[in-house]
Amino acid sequence: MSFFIGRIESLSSRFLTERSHELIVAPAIADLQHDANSGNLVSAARARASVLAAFGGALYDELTADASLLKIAALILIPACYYTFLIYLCQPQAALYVAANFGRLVLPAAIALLSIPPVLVCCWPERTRRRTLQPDALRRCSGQTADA
Amino acid sequence: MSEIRLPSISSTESLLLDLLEHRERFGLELVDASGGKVKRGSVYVTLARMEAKGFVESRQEDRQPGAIGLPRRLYRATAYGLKVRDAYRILRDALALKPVEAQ
Repeated sequence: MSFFIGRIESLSSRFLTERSHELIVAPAIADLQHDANSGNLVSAARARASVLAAFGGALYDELTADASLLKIAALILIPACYYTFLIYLCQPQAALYVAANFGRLVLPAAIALLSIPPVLVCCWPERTRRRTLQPDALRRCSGQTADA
Repeated sequence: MSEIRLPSISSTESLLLDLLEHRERFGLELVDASGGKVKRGSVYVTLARMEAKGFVESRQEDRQPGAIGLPRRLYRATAYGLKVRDAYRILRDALALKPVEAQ
């Protein structure tokens, strides 16, 4: 649990502003911890999914609220066009083979995977801050007490 | 002449304001009370947008000593939010009338 929360925290500190974290991601994490304490595995799994959904929603809000982030969409187009031309124009037979044997969406998905994450990691504006989850809270969340 | 920018309110936001009208609630309480109309993954995104518009206010819950995990957040409707909701409700009702009925 604490590993999952730690990952979300680090992603949040890289990609989200303080406000988005405080108002969107942190309450979802608090709900996740609340469900974990109740011991219901199904609701804990749903809470994890909702934390991811909240993170995605916050990311979308950041994208739409900050006009400068629109340049990221343009930057994504550059590698996407490169891979598209490389695959569909230079190797059309291979593209047809992959589409026929593995599905039509495999190559577009591969192109998206090759294009989007590197641009997001490299070009997303730095978020200055901040908070990290209190080590004590993480320890308690994983079921240990401060005394232990 | 400067243009007046009217606030917008969605049906989900209107529903959340209904639920928050009389008392403070947690996000999960709102999800449960909405009867499935508000999803758990989107409730905080919607509430954050509403807070940015001034429709709701929020605060962290009061923690008891030894409480586990991060504090949850309590939400309540603002007078402005309720005013916008009521205004849109009147507008919607008025526009729903046929011209003959409106006379």
